[in-house]
Amino acid sequence: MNDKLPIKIMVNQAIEMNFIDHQTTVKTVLNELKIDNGSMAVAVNNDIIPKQDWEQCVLNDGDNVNVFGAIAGG
Amino acid sequence: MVNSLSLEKKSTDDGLLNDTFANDKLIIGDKTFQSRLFTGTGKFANSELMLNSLKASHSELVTMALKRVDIAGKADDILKPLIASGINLLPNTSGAKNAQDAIFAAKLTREALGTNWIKLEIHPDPKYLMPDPIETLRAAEYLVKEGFIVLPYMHADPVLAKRLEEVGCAAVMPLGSPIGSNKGLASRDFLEIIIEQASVPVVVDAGIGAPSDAALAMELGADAVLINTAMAVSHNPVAMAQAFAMAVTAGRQAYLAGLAPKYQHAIATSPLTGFLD
Repeated sequence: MNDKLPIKIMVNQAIEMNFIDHQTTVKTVLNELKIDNGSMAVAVNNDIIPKQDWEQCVLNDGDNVNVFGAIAGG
Repeated sequence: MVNSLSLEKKSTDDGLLNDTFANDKLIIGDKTFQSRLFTGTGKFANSELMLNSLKASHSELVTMALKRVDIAGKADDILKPLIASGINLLPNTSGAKNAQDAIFAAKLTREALGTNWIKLEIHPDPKYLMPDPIETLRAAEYLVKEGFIVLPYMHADPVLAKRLEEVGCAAVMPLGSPIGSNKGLASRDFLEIIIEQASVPVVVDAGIGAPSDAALAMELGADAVLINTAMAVSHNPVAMAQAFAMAVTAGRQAYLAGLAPKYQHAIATSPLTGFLD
């Protein structure tokens, strides 16, 4: 694809984010959203990405990123 | 002389009693618990009330759920202080409708919370939240092989309990009655069979509505109980947590002491000889 076009990432099936940088990683997305509280899990297109790989995991145009966190429950 | 003998005997009895209770620990997987009261974190009005209630309960294992983070809204950080406290976490797979969902949820929680303990719950029907036995057994078998400590929520089905045990579950968690129903031990007769047959700890989960229900479960020989709704929605959750803690201790002590047998007819506790004879 054209390197000048931004890539589109869908996050939590709720918001679409656009990035000019084609080296955008999972870590970038979490930083942008300011949602990492230390107890999060991330899946890209239903593949779970371990925490230690967030900085290396480069996203592609059209990727679905899902961020999960703990909530109260029984 | 008589006095000293009776004192000596008394101290021996106390020693036996103390040994029995001091050595009474619950072991599940790689963890040892002093408290047999497990607690959920749902439905509390706020984080402080939840923390104070859990403290009052002396619980050493707490459940929680996992969900997609709400990006637009404020992050739900009700659990942050709890997680930071270092208490043992038992994340659940609530929301899973089949084995595949549950396995995915279990792997996510292991990533998010750094624990391989999982309360496996698969309930496709939102009205009664009855656990799906076939999907639960499938998921349990897979997750055990993946190194999880699996505690499955299940119906009070003695055959299923054995099957779950055979695939390597660390405990079984049969229901007393439907989740959040507060109807107590509707499944009592079947819980008794499960307890009789189990070689892994039996944790009665769901439906326990009052401390008396918890005490009864413990008197029947359950190894632990899991309480959430009955505590969280009480007018005074902290006091209720304390009440549950006492009930669980009392029930366990009664079980260890051994309950007196039941009879259809009366057995006199006082001599029946007429005192004028």
